[in-house]
Amino acid sequence: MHVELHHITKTFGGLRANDALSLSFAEGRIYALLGENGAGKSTLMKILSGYQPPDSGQILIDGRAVTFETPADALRCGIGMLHQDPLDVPNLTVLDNFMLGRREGLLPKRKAARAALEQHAARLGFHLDPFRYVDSLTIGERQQLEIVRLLSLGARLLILDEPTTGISAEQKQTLFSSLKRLAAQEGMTIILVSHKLEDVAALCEEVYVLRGGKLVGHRHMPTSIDELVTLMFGQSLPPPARRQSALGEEILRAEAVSLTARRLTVRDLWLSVRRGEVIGLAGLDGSGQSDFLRACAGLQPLNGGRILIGGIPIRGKGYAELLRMGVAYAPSGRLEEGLVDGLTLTEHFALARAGGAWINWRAMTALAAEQIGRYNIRGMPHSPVQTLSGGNQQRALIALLPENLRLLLLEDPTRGLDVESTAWVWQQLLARRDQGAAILFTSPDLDEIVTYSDRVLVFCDGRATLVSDLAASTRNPAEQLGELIGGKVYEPR
Amino acid sequence: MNLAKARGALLTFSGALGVALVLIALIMLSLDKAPLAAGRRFLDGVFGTPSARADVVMAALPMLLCAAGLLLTFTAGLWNIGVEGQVTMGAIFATIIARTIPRDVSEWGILAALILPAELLLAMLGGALWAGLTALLKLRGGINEIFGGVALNFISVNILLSLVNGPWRVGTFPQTAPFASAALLPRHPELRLSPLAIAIALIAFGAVFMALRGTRFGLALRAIGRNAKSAGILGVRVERHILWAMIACGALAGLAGAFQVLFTRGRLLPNISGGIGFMGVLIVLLVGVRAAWVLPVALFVATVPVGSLKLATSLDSSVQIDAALGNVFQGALVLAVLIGGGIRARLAARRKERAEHG
Amino acid sequence: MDELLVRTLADIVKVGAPIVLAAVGETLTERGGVVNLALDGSLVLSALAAFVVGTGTGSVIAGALAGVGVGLIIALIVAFCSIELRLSQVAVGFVLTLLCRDLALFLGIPYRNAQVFPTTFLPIPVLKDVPVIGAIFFNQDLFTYLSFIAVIAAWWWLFRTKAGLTLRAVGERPQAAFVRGVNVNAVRYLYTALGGGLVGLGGAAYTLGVLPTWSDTGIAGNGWIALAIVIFGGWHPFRVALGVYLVAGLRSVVTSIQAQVPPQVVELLNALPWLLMLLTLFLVSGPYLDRLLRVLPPRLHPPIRTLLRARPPSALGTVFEQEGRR
Repeated sequence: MHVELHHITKTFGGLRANDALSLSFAEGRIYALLGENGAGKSTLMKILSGYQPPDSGQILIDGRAVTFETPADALRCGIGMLHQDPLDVPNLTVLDNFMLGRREGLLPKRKAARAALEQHAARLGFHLDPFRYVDSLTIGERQQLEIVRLLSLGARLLILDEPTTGISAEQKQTLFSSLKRLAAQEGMTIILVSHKLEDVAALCEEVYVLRGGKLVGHRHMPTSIDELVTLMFGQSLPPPARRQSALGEEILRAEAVSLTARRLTVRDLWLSVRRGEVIGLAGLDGSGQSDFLRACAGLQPLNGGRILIGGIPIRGKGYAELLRMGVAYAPSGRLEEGLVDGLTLTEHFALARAGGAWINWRAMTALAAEQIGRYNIRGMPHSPVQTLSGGNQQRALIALLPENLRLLLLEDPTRGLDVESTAWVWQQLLARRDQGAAILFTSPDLDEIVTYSDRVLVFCDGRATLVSDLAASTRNPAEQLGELIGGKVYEPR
Repeated sequence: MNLAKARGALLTFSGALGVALVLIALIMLSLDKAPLAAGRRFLDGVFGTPSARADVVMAALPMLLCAAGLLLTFTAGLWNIGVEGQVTMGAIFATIIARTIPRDVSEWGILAALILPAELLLAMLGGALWAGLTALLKLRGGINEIFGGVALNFISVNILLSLVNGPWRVGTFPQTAPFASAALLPRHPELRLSPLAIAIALIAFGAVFMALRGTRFGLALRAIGRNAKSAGILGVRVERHILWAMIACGALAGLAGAFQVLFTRGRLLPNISGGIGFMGVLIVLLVGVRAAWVLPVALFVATVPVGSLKLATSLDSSVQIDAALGNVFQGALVLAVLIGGGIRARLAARRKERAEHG
Repeated sequence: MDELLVRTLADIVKVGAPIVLAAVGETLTERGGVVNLALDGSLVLSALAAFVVGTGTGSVIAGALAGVGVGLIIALIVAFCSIELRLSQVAVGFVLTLLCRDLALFLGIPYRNAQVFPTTFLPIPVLKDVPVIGAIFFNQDLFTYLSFIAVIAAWWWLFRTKAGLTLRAVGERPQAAFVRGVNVNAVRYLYTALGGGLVGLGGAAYTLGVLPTWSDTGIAGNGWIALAIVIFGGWHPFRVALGVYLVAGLRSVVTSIQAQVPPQVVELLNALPWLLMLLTLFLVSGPYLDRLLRVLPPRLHPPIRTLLRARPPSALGTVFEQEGRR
């Protein structure tokens, strides 16, 4: 199946998300659609997969023009999309999810569906238990289920939107090798939507690069990473510099901590963190990293052991109390769990800053104006936060972090951000570290963990192992971490 | 911008009022009543005489108290349907003291001055207790405040009926004896009006208004109402605020219950709340949780039961109609306002969209 | 078995029939993601409509259809306000429930205890002679049989058919159903209407079956019980029916001892169903069950979830909007 996009244009409120884009995808090849946030990748793929109609332009399949009313239409024409957060129904079993949307009569044919599920999964080298509930699966397994489902419904072109976010290195290996097999042996067309250059290098044969809604490049791999970065941003970015700051007193101490994560129980976790340190928490999705962060913020109970902040046990203290002790927690769904839709920037600052019962609106407006200037937020004190752009909401969140923090707990702080925004976020975070805050953060991106961590706590199989000599390692540190996450026993040098 | 918004809201309200009035007129016509004459009689019954106007004001006070409390809970995104039960508990708790007060308290001296404050405080405690229970069921038991509230509403009615059928019953009907005048809210010498009650209600409403406008508590409630998770991450103690918003609302509803027994009825009897809690909910829905509008709208809504009662007791059969029709009018009006607001919002969204693509 | 007990059980099943119909209807509605909070008022108004038409025509079928029609229209108003106008389902439902109840009380004044509708007692041959079971389940009126059929049919539809799977997906994650080719809002209209129709049938079951007359009391309040039972029943028809029979049983116990205790105690005993409701909701909605599930192996989760868990459909009360078009 040969798919062509012809002069696709789509505007949102005056902004040209796609500007006369023409791309072509041949049978059996693996493409990358590369670009920073807002470059127009998602819009284009939503148009191709039937989510949105283009304002103008055409989609041609094997030379015939097609229009899609719904994603189901697109799938009937052989185009399937795997979303970053797989669009499945968590409260149903794997088999129910697989059957949902298949065209059958009133009564489902469970046996036949199960056979089809198992056959397609085996073909791809996936293992899926048909009777497990989907909400007990990892993101990686849910992706596998979606791929199996799309293939069984006859997808010939598969779009994968940022599929490596939130899955382990091991799952990524499985995914990439089955995608390669699908393309080579079955003539499937694959489009990888990503801003991760290493994924593109590992998987793809051709690359389309978008910038500002326009197609700015079409390359055959291998192409140098530098060239792709230049295409994406218009210039190469220097790698972030590592700085060394002096360590202060101990701020966080975990003693024999035991806690329940989504998939397993973590036991006997010991950790001591001093001010000025950055600790990365690595592990497969759902291995307990996020739960440990939440426990440190007083948001999740421990099964055993204790956590001390500045020498004070936090048992029985809520997050608001810990916040007053200089601890801040930022969950990964920042825009859903950090800002309040409908409140202005001034109101956010008034909430986040301690004070008496009465609010001095004039002082708060002045504070908001000052912070807006300092963090370069494009907005006014009276702007409701939902009117800010994503990047500016991000800046507002960091501006809202209290002053004089002693411990900063961050869940995947750069999720969904492009290279430039990631660099900006880390610059701010490291400035906090230099002011004496300790940072604990999780990330599915091992390179991010290696780049910024002084030490790494690896979560695997209910154990948490501290790795402190990454910088001294002669081998590729990310690779070494990957092995530990995969279950290799750590032997300190 | 704000002016345009206010004008739009007023337009919706007028349109909805028209729809509700037409509906009521049609019902009347179908029953061989004269809508226009009934309308005149109604207006005369609520505005015609000083005593009629006083009745409207006094009917508005308990509703105003409930609506003020509900402003707090609605702002925090809580559907405190249990407000009815909180009114009932307030009435019961006020009665605990009121029924023991003798006719003659001339020998009580300074203690006599404490009767009323004690009754009102106890009533607030009763309402707060019931609301706090709803909040705890929600926070500790995961029971939605709507269901906890409805259940506690029914339970409060059962408690009330049990008391007036049992230990507190005086005479043949299930009700207490009329309370002594020392136990009641002091009354204006000529009109059925209690200046003290008016002052208390206005102060309570003013306090809620200020709390929502200028305090950290009010801002925190707004944040919780819009996104409780984010509010928590910004440092708001979400559970504590929910508990306190409910307790404050319950206390105000309890006060409304006290007004019912200590002024409107002068004794405790079944159906003491008379639906004023739900009317408070309707008022807050009518104004779209905008505090500034609550005062006039409460007065407007209070005309309905007062006027309907006048129609029901009218001797002229062409306008005599059961007071239950007033409730129908209120419900129809609020529904029409909601739907009208929804239609306006959709039209605005569509216009905006067309402007963007045009 | 004791004859009194059998008679009591038969009575519980009969008295519970209207609430079973309403609660099963609401279960279907909520499974699709819509809350019909107008249920209580809808029950009262449809009961009046069924009574007026039933006594007017002398036909139980015509009366029942009138009840169904009223319930259906009210449900459609809720669905319309939510889907087309994006209004809060809770706000619209709550106002409607008050409006419908008040309207019924007003319009019903001339019919108050006017007459009794002759019940359609329909013993089923052969089956009614089965010992115990026959006397309890097969010696009943039309509406009681309809309540049995509603429970079984709703269960079968929800968990054994493709359409039921689609319905559950729409209530859990409408976006996922949409990409699989489901017209989410059409499904919601359909099941809100169907559920509303069953509520209306429940209303008819009061005035044409259980009571069987029109009165101001005895109906209002039961809609709220039904709404709470849907939660207690974990959105599962069998558990919902069980919940209804528990409440009806408790009420029948209170009624049977009514004569022996003073009135103030009777009034307090009448609060028992609500206390039971709160207690059970506390058990099934609180965090306690999830804590238990977490330590059990995943293999055991399906049966335990089915039996005990009461997790609402994830998209309950939300509006589905397809991005990029309107």
